[in-house]
Amino acid sequence: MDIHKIKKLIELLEASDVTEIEIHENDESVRISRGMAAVHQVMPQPAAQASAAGQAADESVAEEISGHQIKSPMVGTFYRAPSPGAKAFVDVGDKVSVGDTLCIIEAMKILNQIETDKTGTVKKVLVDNAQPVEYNQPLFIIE
Amino acid sequence: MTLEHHREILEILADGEFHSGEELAAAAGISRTAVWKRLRRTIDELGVDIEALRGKGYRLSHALEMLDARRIADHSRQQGLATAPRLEILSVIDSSNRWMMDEALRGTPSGSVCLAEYQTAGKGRRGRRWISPFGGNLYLSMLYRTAAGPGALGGLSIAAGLTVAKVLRDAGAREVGVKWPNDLLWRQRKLAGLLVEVAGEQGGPSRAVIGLGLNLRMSGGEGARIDQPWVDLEEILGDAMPPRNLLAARLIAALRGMAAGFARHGLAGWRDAWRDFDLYRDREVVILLGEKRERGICRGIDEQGALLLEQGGGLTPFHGGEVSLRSAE
Repeated sequence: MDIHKIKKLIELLEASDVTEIEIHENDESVRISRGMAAVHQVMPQPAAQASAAGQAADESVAEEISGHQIKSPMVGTFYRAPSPGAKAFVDVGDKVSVGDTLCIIEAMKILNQIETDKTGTVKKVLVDNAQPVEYNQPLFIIE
Repeated sequence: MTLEHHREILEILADGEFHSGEELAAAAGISRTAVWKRLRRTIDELGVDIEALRGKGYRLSHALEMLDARRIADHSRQQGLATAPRLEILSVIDSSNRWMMDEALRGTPSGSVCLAEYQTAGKGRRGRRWISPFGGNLYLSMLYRTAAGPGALGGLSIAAGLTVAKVLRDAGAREVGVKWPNDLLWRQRKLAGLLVEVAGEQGGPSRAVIGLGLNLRMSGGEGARIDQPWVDLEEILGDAMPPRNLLAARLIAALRGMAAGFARHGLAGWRDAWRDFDLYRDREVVILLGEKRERGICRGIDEQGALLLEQGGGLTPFHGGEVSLRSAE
């Protein structure tokens, strides 16, 4: 799929209330989720296209980092679900209340359930599943 | 079927002697002919070994010492051991850690302990199963509350692992040591594992549940389901094996002491103990971090509990990952 087309799709998504869009074209498909900081290209995936798409997504994150940030209290590994294959604790668009678990950060076999300290809507998830995070690194944006 | 149904019969069989079908039927309030069917379910659901012998009846392949809060309290009193403000014995539970986390929300005091005879969904790291058959082992969870945020609990899993290792060495398992962060091994075979779960607000207070799974006597059938080399305490200690309830009393006291010290000094003071118990010290290892592999030589832990790996002359701290000996690759 043409990179300009993907970029257009991202812009389209940004300007709308739609959180996810999936397009199938011949044997290719692309799914773009708002705020997931990732473009999942499901079928054949030339490397250049993938990284360009990644950049586009990064730009959109940099654009709007307003709202309440949930930061990592520690160095560790970020997990969005209680166990591999399980449903994520939260997704973009979910309503959360103070005390709800947003993710787990693991370090040294300590599983930290990170709770939200603000009631609102999950606007962005800033880190991909199973990625290392640093102390104070923003993880979520809640509005 | 709930565990209580199994329990009536298991309490009679616990002594390891033969008991007749009539006796078991009367205890369980079922017909004589239903006994074998019931026992089959007990074997299937709980992973216990029950033998049947014509003319003699039924018996467990090993005597079973059931967990008993009163016996644990007696041991504590006789040996002058610290006790838990609340001690619950759970017959069957999905996960003792999950149970204690829920109790924490209901206000149960710091230091509360639960022990389970059987876990249907014992947890290891990241959703791995901890095989938890009935009666033979120890599954223990202790609550630890602190006014600090979750970030302050970094070394707790290290201190807890060392605490359990010390109890086991004192019981006679001299070769028990730790693999970072807190696997307990004996001759490269896994004897116990710990998993700490933490929740709370970033600025505190927070609550931690320290979960321990310790192999005391694993039946052959259940042991075959474990996907790594393992050992149980009975193989190590033989006849010197302490009673299960006494071991529980000692573990509770030791973990209570550890928690009190950790609240005041954190991980300080544990680095010397780490040196004594570290099985991989000065050995070449590989750390698996997701898809990444890092090689180096183990040089102990830093003040936060991170593993120090010597790589090209410098020391790099690692907070996560799976450690294995390079020679074992």
